[in-house]
Amino acid sequence: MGKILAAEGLVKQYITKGHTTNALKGITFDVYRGEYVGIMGASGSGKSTLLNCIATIDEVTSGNIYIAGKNITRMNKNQLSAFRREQLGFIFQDFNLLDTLNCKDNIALALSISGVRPRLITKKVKDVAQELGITQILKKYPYEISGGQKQRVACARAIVTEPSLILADEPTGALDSKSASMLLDNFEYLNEQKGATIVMVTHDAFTASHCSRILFIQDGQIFHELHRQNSDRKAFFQKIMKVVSELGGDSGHVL
Amino acid sequence: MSFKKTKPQDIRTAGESSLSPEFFNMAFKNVRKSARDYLIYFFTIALGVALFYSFNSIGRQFSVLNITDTLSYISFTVSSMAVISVFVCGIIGFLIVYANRFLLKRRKKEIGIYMTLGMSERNISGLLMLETLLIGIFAVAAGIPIGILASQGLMIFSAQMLDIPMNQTKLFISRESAAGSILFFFVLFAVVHHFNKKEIRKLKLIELLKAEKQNEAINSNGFAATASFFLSIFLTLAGYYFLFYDPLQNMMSALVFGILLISAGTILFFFSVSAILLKVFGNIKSYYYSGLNMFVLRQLSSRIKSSGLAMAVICILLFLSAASMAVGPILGRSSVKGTDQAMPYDAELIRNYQEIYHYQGSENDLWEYSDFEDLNENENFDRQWGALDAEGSNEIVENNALGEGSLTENLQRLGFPLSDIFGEYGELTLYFADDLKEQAFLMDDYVQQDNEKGFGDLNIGIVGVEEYNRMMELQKKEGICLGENEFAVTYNMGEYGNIYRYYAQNHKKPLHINGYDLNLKEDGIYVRTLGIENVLMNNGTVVVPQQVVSGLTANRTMLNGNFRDKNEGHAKFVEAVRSLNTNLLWTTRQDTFIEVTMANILLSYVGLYLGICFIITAGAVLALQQLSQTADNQQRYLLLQKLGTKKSMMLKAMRTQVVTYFALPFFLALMHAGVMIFYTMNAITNLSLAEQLKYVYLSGGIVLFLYGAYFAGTYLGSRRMVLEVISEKRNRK
Repeated sequence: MGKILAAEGLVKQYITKGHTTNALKGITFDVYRGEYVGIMGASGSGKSTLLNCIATIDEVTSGNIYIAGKNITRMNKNQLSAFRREQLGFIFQDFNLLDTLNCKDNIALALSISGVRPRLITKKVKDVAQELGITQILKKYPYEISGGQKQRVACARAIVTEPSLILADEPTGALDSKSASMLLDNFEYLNEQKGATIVMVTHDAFTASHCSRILFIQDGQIFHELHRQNSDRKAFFQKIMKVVSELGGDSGHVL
Repeated sequence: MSFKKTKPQDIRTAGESSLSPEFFNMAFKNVRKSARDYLIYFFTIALGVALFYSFNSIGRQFSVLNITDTLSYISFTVSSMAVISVFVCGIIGFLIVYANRFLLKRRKKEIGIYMTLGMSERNISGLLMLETLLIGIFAVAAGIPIGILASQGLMIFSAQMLDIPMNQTKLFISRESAAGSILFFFVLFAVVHHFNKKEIRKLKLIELLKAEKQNEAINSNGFAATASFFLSIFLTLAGYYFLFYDPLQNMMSALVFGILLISAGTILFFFSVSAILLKVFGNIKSYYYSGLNMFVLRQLSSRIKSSGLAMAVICILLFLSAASMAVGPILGRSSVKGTDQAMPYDAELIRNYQEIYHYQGSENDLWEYSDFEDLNENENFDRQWGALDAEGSNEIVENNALGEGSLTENLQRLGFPLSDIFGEYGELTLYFADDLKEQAFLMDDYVQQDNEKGFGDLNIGIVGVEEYNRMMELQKKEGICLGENEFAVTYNMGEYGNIYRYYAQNHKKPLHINGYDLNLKEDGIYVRTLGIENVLMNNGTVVVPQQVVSGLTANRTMLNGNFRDKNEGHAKFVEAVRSLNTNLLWTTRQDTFIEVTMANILLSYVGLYLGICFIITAGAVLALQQLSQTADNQQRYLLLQKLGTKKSMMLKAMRTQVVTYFALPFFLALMHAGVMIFYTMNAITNLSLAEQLKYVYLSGGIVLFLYGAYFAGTYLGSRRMVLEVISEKRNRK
């Protein structure tokens, strides 16, 4: 299995009014092809900053990030745009669908930006919709469907370009537990059946228990790492809870 | 489907797609979806195009009204409009760029999504360009018809000013202006596109996805705020005082000082009012804690605090435009009215014997004449006139075409078709006597008023009564019957009324001219005009029995006449006089009328053009500021809703903010403008109140319509944004 993502000594500093805040204090980790990695941590631990840096949404102060062998910290704006459309798929907590477009067009947009032939676009959108069970709502507009459905459309948009890495920022954060389960089933399917590589930030232990490996972040550093290995999800959930409670009297924030 | 890279043959282009039909489709959908966000944008471009069209079509307007342009005054007005158009273009361009920044801000998230999907900057600006272009095409398509309508309004306005009957006005369309307006739009469009590209280049993805705006902190220094609040009231009242009482006895400086003081007061007012509002209403607990008042008050004072200067400038712009749109036309109309008296004949020919009296085609406008004090304080004044005289004399010495005898005889000898052109005509010679000057003649005992300083050095002309009566006959006015030892005085310059009244009652010795001693005829002071004048400026002419003038040095002879053919006369006259090849001075009523009125029409046009442009500026800036404020507040409204606030309460809070934000500068500006207009109306005596009010209503109507439209647009837009967050929450449940 090849390395999809390599983060080396990531540091992120914010300077506001003379104060220097270190959001990331030297984070190093790798993600391999086909992995399903969760990043957990309390609010303010730096987990979202870490994901934003990997996602090329934010810039690191120092350190290198290699995705599919390319150093994204050295890219210019044009290379970044090309990189995003070819290698990355995003799923956000608040869906970020365009409400001027119906679901089908939202998914198709990712392809037409990449310059895929129109006849192929229709087929690809149809295929991905079938896999995620959203065929019936393709003609609807985002404001006509539920949060869970929106997130599955966003998921379809993220994977339709077949990126090497899918990045999800609190994807279940705005969903009820039933929708969350359905979405996580989708993720599992994509990961296990389709071999998609997923990195997901979450503060929810249940969501995290679907992952194959979990990185715990505290104060901008990797504090612990858990591997699911062969344990079932329930056992993995217990393990996660144990680490979360070790994070100090802060578990309320984590949960 | 599997996660292998897309095969190369699936990709249509090597990189990403450039502007393809999908982009076009998306741009169209975006415009349709955010039509209401684009409303202010659309409205401003449409108004800009309409304004541009109507004021640049005035050339066509005058040809429709059948006004000839012998002396190129109309072309001057037309090119002045073109110059101002450049300025207006700049202002509207700034507004559009400003409006565009608001739109970008509203769509940060959307642009962020495009970027995460890997759309390049070039394509994002391309998409926005398409949207702008679409909106722009609609706006131009709406703006030109509005402009055509507005130019009819402008033509009616001109016709009223110039006393042209309404049946001469008819619908016209100026192709050049339409083409100009389209060009105007494309220049705007290019500028906007350029700024868009720059803005997009500056955007950071993280900020697009996470951006939230903070309110301005109010560090209210109670004392400083109270002090500047009272100072602002004092300054404003001082400005009003200047306008009403004119303590320096000078209209121009009263205007300048008045406007400066009022503006300073306005700026201070907007700097201090937020703290005062918070202090006063914050201390009334029953108000402060009732409903959302606390929220509204904090939002408003934060808003006014952070954009105090902008609001003050908007208020001053509104004030100036409302005032100039009323005052300009009132002043213009007033001086047009005065022209009936100044041009009693159709045409005039003048032969100068000694010096050229400044008489024709003057570049100096009305203001310089009425501001006599300034002219006389200027030492160069006499010298300038002297120089002009000398030059004129030289020409006359060289002129051999004219010989002895009356002007009529000379003209007949030269073959000028006098009786062909004129139905009636006559000539009048004006004589000067060296010792007959104002001071010696009538001001020996006269105690001068403040505003009459500087009179006294001008010559008093002398005319014979027979020739004078012939002139009166041409003017259809009664002549004078003079006794052998009597004289009369005629003048037409308003300021001399007091002096002659005083003279008539108090003069002691008889007038000594050419060896005759003459006494003033009883009630022998007349207000008459002898020649065609662009401004009433005859300080006085003595009318004496005809025999008295013989032997006096002639200054000039004028031949005045009325055309035989009212329609063709002017053209015939101009042709004949141009082929005459003498250096007789000549003028016609029509040309002088256009000269005088064009200056005033130009003033009124400039007032209207800039006035409307300023109102658009004020309205658009306020609208955009308030809309982006509401956009920033969306999260706060969401929070309020989570706290259980009723929908009606939130809408009321939004309404209070929008209304206050628009009403505060509006009513302050209205008050200032009212004072200024009232001041002007007081000073104008030759227009009826009803006629003056017509222009006040016109100005008020334009202000109300444009400002009201921006207010309505802002209100609807803000309302929608508040409802947007509330209903989105509901959907999620």
